[in-house]
Amino acid sequence: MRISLRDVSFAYRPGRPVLSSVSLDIESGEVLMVLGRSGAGKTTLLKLAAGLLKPQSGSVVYEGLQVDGRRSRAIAYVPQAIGIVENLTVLENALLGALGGLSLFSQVVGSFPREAVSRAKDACELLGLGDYVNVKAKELSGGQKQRVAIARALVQGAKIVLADEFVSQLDPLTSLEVLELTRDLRTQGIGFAITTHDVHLVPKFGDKVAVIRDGRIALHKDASNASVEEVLSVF
Amino acid sequence: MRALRWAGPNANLLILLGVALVLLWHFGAFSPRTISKLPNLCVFLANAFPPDPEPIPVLLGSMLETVLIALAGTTLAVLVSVPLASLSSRSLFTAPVTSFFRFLLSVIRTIPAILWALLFVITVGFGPLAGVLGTAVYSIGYLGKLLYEAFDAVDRDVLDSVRISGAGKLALMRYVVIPESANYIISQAIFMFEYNVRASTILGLVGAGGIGFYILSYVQVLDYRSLTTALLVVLAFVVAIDVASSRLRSKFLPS
Repeated sequence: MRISLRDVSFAYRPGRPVLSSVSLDIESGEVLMVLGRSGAGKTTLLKLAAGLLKPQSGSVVYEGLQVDGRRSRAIAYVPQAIGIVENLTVLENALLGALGGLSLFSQVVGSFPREAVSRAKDACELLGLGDYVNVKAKELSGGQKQRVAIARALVQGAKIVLADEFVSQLDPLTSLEVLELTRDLRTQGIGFAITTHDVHLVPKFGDKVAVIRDGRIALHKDASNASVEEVLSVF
Repeated sequence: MRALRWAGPNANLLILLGVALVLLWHFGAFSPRTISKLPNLCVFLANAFPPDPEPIPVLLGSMLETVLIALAGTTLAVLVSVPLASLSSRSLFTAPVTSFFRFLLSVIRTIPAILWALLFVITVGFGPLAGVLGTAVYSIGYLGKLLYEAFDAVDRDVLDSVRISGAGKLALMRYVVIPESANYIISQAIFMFEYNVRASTILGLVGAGGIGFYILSYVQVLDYRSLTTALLVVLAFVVAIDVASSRLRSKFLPS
């Protein structure tokens, strides 16, 4: 299962493209590290892959269907600001991932099936949040909030998680913990596209690496074949 | 030039004072007719003190009714303004929908609370129900605007990340927009209640219940001592509610 971007171009303002003819695959079961300087278009790339932005040309397809940002339960998006609801508890945030499977009535009255609640509790347990299920998200540390975002993606049943600057706001030890978690989840068939500035994370946590420069893919290869020097040379 | 710069804030104050005096003159504040009536103020004050303690029990009961009118009106307004504000929020709905509901809220705000109360006196008759409905409708206009601005400010990234998990607009409202704005909603509802207590004191003037009815009666029969008592009762309640409200609101607003 993969998200395929083909010849995708996008500009926020006419005549000033952020991305030009970008083609890239984001596969389930592997970690793609997306690198580039600030303003290179990394966030735009993820938003296009999530269907939150529409390309001006080219296509974004998941399993043969155009990605449109709605009801695409196989794709989860974790924005730079993590995107969890601070005034909800950890369990409630995780359960938001199950909303897509509910009827409109159940969504509004908040009637989640037992199976979804148990899935959410399991996800929290798996991610080390078992003791925090009833704690409000605003009381958590940065690393715990990242875990909540992953828990929601697991409850959603996402096959691909698009994570923008996933660890940039965490201290080095916590960011290593979170990235190790993503590596473990890869074995469950979940794929990640993670944007970062940190070249040194690529060999340890990435299966593939893509570098964006001047709105184009300057490098795209297996992480095991890409040295830090090579990545830096096109950065 | 140097003199003007030296004058600084004093010059602004002088200009402001000048404008005020010109306006007062325009409205006849310095006409011989007005000045000749100034002693009436002294007569009024002489007749208004000391306050008459006799109507205090009745006034306390009617002031309590005023507070209950404000409470019921505000509660009703919160219940209606949250969905209306959601329909007016650009975070959730497209421009044609939000424009229609923003216009509706604007129309509601244009009509003052006392006029709404008068309309409901005509519709449902004299009494506190007209006051409750008048207060509620007016507050919907105001709360609706305050809330849709808060809803617009909800982090788009949070909305996007929940939307992509399959949440519809109503679910986004229930699980993202309202929880993220909860403190602001509570704070504004308390402020609206505080405002409505003050506004509801005059609703009795049009027969919509509360202490306003007594205030109007005392003015009409020239019972200024009872009028002073009524005004002191209003003052005591309003000050107490203002203090309680600001303490309560500070718990829900970021420090």
